[in-house]
Amino acid sequence: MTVPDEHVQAGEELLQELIRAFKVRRLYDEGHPQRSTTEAAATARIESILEERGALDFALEDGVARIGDRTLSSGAGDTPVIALLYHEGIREIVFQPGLTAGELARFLDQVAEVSATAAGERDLLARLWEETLPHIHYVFVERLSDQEWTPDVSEPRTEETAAAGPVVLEPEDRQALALPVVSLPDPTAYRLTDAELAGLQAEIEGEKARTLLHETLTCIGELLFDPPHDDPIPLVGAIADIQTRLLGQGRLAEVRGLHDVFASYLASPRRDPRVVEAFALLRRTSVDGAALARLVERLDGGDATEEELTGYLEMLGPEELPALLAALPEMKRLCQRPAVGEILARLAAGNRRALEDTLAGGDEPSAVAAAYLAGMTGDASAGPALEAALRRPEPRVRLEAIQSLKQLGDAGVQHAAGAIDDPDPAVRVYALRHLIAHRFEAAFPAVAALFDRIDGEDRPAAERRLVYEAFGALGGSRAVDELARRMGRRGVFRKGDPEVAACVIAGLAATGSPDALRIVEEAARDRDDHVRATARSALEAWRHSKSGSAG
Amino acid sequence: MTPGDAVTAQATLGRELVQDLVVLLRAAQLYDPGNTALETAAEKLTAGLRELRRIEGAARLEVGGDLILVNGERIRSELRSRAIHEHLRRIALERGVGGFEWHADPDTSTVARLARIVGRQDGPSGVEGLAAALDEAGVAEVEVLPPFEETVGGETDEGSRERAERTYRHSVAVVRNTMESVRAGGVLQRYRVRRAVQSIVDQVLRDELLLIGLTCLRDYDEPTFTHSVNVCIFSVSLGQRIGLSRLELYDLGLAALLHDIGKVDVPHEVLNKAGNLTEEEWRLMRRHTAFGPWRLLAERPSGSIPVHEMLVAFEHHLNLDLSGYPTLIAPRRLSFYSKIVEIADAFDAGTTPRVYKTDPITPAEMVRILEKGAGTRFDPVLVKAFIGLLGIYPVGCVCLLDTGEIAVVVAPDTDIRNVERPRVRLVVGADGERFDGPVVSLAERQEDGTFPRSVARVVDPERYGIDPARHFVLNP
Repeated sequence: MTVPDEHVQAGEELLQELIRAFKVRRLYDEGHPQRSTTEAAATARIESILEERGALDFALEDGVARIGDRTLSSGAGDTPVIALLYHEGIREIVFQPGLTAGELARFLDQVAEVSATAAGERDLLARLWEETLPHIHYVFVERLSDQEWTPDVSEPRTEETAAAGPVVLEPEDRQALALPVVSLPDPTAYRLTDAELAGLQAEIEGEKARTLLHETLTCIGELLFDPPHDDPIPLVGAIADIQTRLLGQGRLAEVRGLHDVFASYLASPRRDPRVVEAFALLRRTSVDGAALARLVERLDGGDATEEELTGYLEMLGPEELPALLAALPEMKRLCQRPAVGEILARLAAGNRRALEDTLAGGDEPSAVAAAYLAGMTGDASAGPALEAALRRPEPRVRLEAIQSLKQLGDAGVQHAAGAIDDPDPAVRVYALRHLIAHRFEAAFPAVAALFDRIDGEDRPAAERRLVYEAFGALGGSRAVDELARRMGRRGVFRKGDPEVAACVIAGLAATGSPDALRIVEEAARDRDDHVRATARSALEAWRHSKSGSAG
Repeated sequence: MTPGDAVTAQATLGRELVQDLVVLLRAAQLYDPGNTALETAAEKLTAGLRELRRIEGAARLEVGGDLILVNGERIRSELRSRAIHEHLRRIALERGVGGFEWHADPDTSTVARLARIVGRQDGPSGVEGLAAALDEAGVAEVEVLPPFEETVGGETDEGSRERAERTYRHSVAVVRNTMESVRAGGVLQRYRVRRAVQSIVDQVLRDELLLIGLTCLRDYDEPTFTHSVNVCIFSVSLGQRIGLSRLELYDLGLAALLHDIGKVDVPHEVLNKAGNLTEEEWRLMRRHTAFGPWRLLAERPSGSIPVHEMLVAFEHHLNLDLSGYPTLIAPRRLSFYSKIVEIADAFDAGTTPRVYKTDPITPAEMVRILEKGAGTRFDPVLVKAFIGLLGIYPVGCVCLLDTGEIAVVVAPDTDIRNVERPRVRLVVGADGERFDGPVVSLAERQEDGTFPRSVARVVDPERYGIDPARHFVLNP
């Protein structure tokens, strides 16, 4: 058959585009701009070639392609596409007009995957069959190994029994001939009605919508209860793969469902210790940072419910607290959701040991999360561990620890005193505020020592004022004279520093002493605006607190 | 060589063409000439016909029985397209024609005229009547085809039969090799299993009856292997009948072919024991529904879970009401595929001679057993569809006709109303002489409206030395 030159040229060009796209696919990952650009260009060109020339039909031989009687130069050489197709049994391939980019990409995907597979395990025909490629038609021979299995069609396989003599009917069969033929009362009874068809359709659609996850898991569950072999690995391995897939998709509710399915087995006397151990590992590995991050993202986007997260956390239980502390992103923000905060606090309270260990030796993010949860528990016994955390080198841990000690209220304050000398001003400020709020007198010596040297240290004004305030609040009337002295000192030596006066006023106001009140009242008439304003505001607060306590 | 991918552009085009034709015929019944909807529908069909002619050089639509062919390629009736196909079949039946062939590119006006003539309630009927009407209307490029006679059984071309037989025997070989390899501690060669199922699905989509006929091949040596292939064929055929998509048929076929994979863990001496099994041996035999899913999980490719295969292997003896085996810890809902495979499995197991069961039930008796178990053992709608597929006298059934002749059922009639009137091959004359007779349709009537032949009763083929299978293979 003689083929027009234009047709052969079009075939050459199509093959070149195909090979180019294939090469680029092997060099670059999906999404790489080079790959996308080349593929888009190749597809566009192939589409236009097919539109222009109609279907192109290639016969394949080992390493070469032909159109009609003309051998094409494309496809030969170092590109194995043609050879691969040939060795996989494809002898003819037709590209038809209408070929889409998606089809071409799917075709190339399969060819590329097969080219990367060991020769004995290749299955291009099976793979192409599974794809929908309406514009790529191919003709193939089964591979030799398959042909070997196929008995020759001419091989006699059934016994010839018809060689016997004439048939003589058995009596009961003869009698049947004498009876009238009975017909079905309604021969259409086997035709499916519209309602039955609709029911079938609903069932098929329903089956597609179902993931069959529950059925799969319960099937494995049945096998665990009555194991066919003394080797649970295939069963547990399947469960692990299912969990990995669910985690990868961020479907944590289903992960929880998975563990729920096996709860009865794990609690039953028939449980296999190897399976129990495997499930412990599964639970641990189910705390997946990426999956949790995806879930949190979905939660924020309104695509997931709080129940999904709380259910998952509940499934993990307190045992997985250390892993959870490491994996749960933005724990503080999540805890703003009351249900999430409540369950996390419960998990923390249920595994104090893990909480304390993490506070003492966990990595920074875990220790921060542990410190935060320790405060959420409201459990006074967390105080020493939080105090110990205040000695850790990471400022974030210490800050979280001091905040949590504040959460613990009276029970936490005793552990906070040391933090007034923390290197981090934020931690010191929290500590001071905590001491002030609880008027923790036991810390007075430490605060007094700080007070003595504070004016000589370079500290932010707000913190300095807090030190004065703490000195007043913890010292009470004992502190008035010293504070008054500082006020006086201002008058003599630091006349120009109204900030010191403001600090003294804050300290005096915090003492609650009547003597201090008089001094503050005097300061309310000071010639410095800042001092005057601070004193008036302190007096107002004082009066307010008095009337409040009287009320 | 074998044509690959069944999802061809032509098949897609064919499906669209059938749909466009029905839309146009309906529009022609509803609207006057010149109506926009009518013209739009005519334009669409015209474009489709021209495209088909451009790609394939022909545009031939054939309608008959359960089949619709476009250029000889079968258009599958999926659930969603069923109403459309029914409508087209009804029109063809009412007009007494088997379709149309366009010998030249049509234009919109001739297509619209054809639709008005064919779609009209009181329109002309019969090939000649319709052809004359079209001629008069100036629709010259269309040939009206005579009522379409499906070619099945003995009338099918040898190429198709050879292809079907090769598919069947290859599949049996794959199952044998797979099961023996797994039994010997080798890996489950999924690629080969996949290819075998793909071939079966392709064959079923082309003509399921050819393969169904081959399920009559009863081989005492390899009942487990042929059984697996038969169950696959019956399941895929039933799936096709109820409108599953090609890939769904593939999933179903894989599950069906591997439904008994657990038997590799049943000792040979139990599996092949002649005579009755002891209680303990039965217990072991029943364990194959637990061995199967375990084996499938053990042999699965990394990271994937063979969900349907596993569920079918586990559930195919459970029964719809869960009264079967294995005994469950908790009630469960059977997967849809399990319900299909359970029917196919019961039918084939019941009708297959086994080493421990030398007296198989005839296919017709098995149909009655299925009916009896509908609602308890089996899904009633699926049983109905299965009988609709096979007929009351399934393929391979040996029947005594009221004429005294003996015949082998080679295909059900394509019209479901003739469920008790299959196509048969006459193998014994009324005089008792054996012969390779013609295939006749028991649905054919004589001039007076009566049937010349009817089934008097189903007979045991072995009693008369008849091997039904030899009527389905090329070289028995």
